[in-house]
Amino acid sequence: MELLMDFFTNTGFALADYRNFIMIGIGCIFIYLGIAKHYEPLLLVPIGFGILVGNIPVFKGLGLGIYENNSVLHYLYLGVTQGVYPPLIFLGIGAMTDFSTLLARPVLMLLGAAAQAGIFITFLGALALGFSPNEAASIGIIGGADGPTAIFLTAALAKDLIGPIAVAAYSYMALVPVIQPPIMRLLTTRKERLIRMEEPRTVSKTEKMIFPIVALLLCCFIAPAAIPLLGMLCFGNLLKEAVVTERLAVTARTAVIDTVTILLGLTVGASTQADVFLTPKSVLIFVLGAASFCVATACGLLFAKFLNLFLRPKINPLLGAAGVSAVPDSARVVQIVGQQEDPTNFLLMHAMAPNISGVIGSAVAAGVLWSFMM
Amino acid sequence: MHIDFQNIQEINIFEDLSPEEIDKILPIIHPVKIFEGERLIRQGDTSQMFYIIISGNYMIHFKDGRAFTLHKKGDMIGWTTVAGPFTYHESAVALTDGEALTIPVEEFLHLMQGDSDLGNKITRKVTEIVRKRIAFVKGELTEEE
Repeated sequence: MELLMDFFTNTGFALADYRNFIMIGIGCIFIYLGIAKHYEPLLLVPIGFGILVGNIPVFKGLGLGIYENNSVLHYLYLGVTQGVYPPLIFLGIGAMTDFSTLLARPVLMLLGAAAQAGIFITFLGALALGFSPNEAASIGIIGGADGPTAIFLTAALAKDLIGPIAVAAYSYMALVPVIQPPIMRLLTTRKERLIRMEEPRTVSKTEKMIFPIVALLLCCFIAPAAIPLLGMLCFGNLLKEAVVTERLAVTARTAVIDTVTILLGLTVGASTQADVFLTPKSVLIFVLGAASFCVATACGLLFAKFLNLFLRPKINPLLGAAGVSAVPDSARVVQIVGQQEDPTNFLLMHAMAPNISGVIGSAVAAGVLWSFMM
Repeated sequence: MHIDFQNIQEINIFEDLSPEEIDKILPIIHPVKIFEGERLIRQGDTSQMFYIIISGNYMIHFKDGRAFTLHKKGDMIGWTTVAGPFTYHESAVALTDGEALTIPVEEFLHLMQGDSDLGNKITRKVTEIVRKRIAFVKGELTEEE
């Protein structure tokens, strides 16, 4: 009997408290949303499973938990805390993205930059609520709607918040089709939503090849701290556009990004152990993250309307909402909202321009914030 | 059903694509046989792919009772899921045996993200098709148009 009791006290059931079960429930919801509803399945399934792994209670000192120095999970988690995984993901994104929509109409790049205002407004809001400058910067970056960027900056500035910030960032990315449309309808008139975009010009191969080099030099001279992310993004894109390095580009956009996504998702999920994740601070981070995302969307929309005061022909201001990253979901949302007014108005490809410039914009914003906090 | 360059170029939404672009899209196109009475998609279900008709008759219907049929080679079923993620906006059932091509939405979007020329050519064609379909449903066009 004593042996049986010893065995029981060593099981997870005896070590668990109610918070572990709350987190396991959250993990199951993530897995459900990913598999059954197809909400960002490549991210939510690994994160959800990681939450399950991280919330099975274990004895401290056996080298099992992600926060124990000698555990396997801890070594895998170093890729997050040391900022290794996000640049590798950017390499893959660069190798899979065609920037010609952006090059065809560079003015749309400004929408991607304008949406980043949400990051800085939320940064100020978080400061006002008593967060430290490093924490406030990490919370603000959620509005960039770019998971790897949020993780990269948080790993550099506020390691303790990686779990809640990563989960908040990926949750809001998955909820783009729910969060953005009401803001888009609120801030635009029907007449504006009906605006049709001009056909983009054809972009030459040479322009596409020069772009990653010019973009790297220009952006990283402005914000040198963005080099790890933008350097890899531009390098990946050069591999793609150079053609002669196609084999490397294929590896970067398939094997590399897939492997890193698995490791990143699983370890970020596992880092959300109940005792470090279920705190009032996390709740506040989720609220501020949502606010950041909404403000970023609004800033993109309002800036597009502002540009229309000077542009002829005008651009459809809905494109401004795609200035948050979340590629390609926010571009898809622009298409949905535009198509609800006019089913024959196809904005999807036009919205890809601010969408991918949002990726660059959020990386630059992360670089700027990091420079200020160093 | 065998799918090759020739088959693909005969489909209206792909007819403007260059041989290199068709090479890119071929790996994500999967031919399927469809049987009379088979339900292809159901409005509100989680969406994963859209269909391009090769042969057969299909009824598209909505929860509000609206319905129409499609039978032309190249007509699309479930295309709206490319733009509106997560769920199908309509239901479709096969009225006869037929053949179709299926394209997974996520892979299709990745392809468009990686090649905007290809994306622009396809969306231009889809715009034409959607415009005609709407005009047809409103009774402004005959079936031949």
